[in-house]
Amino acid sequence: MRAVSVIATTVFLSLAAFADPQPGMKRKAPPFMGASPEVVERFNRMTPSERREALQKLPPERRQMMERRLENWANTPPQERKRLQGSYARFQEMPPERQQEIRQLFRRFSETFEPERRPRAQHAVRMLRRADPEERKRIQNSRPYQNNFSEEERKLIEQMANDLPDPE
Amino acid sequence: MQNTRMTCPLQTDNADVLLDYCARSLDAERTAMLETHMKSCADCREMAAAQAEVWSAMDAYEAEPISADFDRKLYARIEEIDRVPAWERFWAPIREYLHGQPGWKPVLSIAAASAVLLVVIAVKNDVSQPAVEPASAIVDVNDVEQAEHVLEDLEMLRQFSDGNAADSGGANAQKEVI
Repeated sequence: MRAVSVIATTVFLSLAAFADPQPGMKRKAPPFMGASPEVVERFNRMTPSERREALQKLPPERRQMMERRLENWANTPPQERKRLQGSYARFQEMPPERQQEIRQLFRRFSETFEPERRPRAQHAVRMLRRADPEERKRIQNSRPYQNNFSEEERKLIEQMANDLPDPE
Repeated sequence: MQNTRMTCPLQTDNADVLLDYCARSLDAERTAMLETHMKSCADCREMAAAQAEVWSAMDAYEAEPISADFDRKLYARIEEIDRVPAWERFWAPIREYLHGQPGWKPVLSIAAASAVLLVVIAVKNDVSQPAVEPASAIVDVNDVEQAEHVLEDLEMLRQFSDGNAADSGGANAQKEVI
């Protein structure tokens, strides 16, 4: 009887080892939760036909966008890539809700600034991010800054500069 | 004159003479000498009497008669043993031995359970070994979506990264912002 119970327990444990992990224990994180650039690297390691096969289920517009971004990432110089990975890691350390707020802010930013004005606005964000408080005040009070952007736009630029993860 | 006296065999460490006498294999001359000696030696008489008892018991023994079909039964039994698989012949004496040991059952069941567990682990490890397959086969819809989101985030961060200062329009922008 004891032998039967020991064997039964072992068989149960063995079956448990084969069973699917609990939803909370799954290794794959849902979108926006702990995704890593490694998943992008996997696409980069694919041959063109493998990549086509992997992306075939996406609607054409999303597929083209993804192919373009993959191409951009593949062409990013190693030093810049490393810097972006660090920036991305800091972004991932933020609470998911905060990440989502920043994404929404970025969408507003992209909608507010037309493509021809966008580089100027992006540059303003970069300058404000790396400036110390005094330097920041000087930029904010400068005439070009005041003339180039409306009050709403300036608020958006400053919020973007404040909310993004630290540059380095 | 011939010397008919005999030194006591038991005292001269020569008991073989007495044993031969009892087995009736001693020659006549020495038999006569021993019998003369035994008349005056109680120890030798006692020894000879004990030996004679053993010999007469052996003479009286009669073996059990074998049954008429003894040979047939014997050959049938030999054939039966030959038919038993080798592992069973190997296992039978062990089982018989273990049957007499009080604590073997838990040990055996734990050993069997461990063996099952080892097999399961081995199979599982074999299953989890990454097979050589095309890279596209290792990504699923979830991976594609994740990569899409990661690329989107990287694109956003790139736009505000210092390394992007030289992007199109960047030089003009620098002049015009401040």
